[in-house]
Amino acid sequence: MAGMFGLGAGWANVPVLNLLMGAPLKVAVGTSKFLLSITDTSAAWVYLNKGCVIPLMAIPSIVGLMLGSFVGVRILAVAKPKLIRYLVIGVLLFSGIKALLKGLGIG
Amino acid sequence: MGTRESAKASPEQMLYADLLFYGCWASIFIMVITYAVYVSGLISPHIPLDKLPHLWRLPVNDFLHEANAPRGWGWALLLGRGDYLNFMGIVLLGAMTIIGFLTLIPAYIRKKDWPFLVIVILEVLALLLAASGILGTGGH
Repeated sequence: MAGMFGLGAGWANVPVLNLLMGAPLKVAVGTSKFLLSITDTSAAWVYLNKGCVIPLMAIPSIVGLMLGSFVGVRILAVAKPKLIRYLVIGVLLFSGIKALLKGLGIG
Repeated sequence: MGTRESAKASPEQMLYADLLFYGCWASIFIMVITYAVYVSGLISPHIPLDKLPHLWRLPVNDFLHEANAPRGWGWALLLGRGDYLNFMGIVLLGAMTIIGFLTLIPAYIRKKDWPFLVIVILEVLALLLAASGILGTGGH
């Protein structure tokens, strides 16, 4: 999913770049992924040096995410931008509702 | 310059992308091997596997204390232990962005592309600062 949508920590990146700034959707996804690769790298070093990385959990997550990203990017290359846009909106709505329910102590 | 031509990736972009691509696969390969070594118990870990589920429920400071987790680059001294061995792949992955940007510096100097050169140097400095262990908070 992250490979297709350019998501990660920057949930707002793709909608801002695409819907507000008018960048083509696939360019927005690529830009989002690229900038996250840099900011997340700096964060990874900090956590590593703070002793806050548990390899038992981190390694399967990293390998799974990276392999998923490779697949997602290839799907993105052939997918219709409209489909990706609706999927991004759907994922954002889902995560927003989940966060709201959690904040309200429901579910 | 036409739109299609201007949209083509420059040689510098291709160099960075290729380096990152092969570095990522090398990291994945290393991580799969070291993880197999870790979970199989071939090399004893610094934090025993059976203690981990208890430890990861603790607040961060208690976790670090109870696990006797190293701070700063102290993990490098523990690379011989099963769990910290896994850091080799993670560190290679973390270093790839820095290595990728470093390879771009001579290319941008040759092209006399000063704005991109400044951006790349600043990126390298920011990443080196994060890797140095001086910073105390995450990137996002």
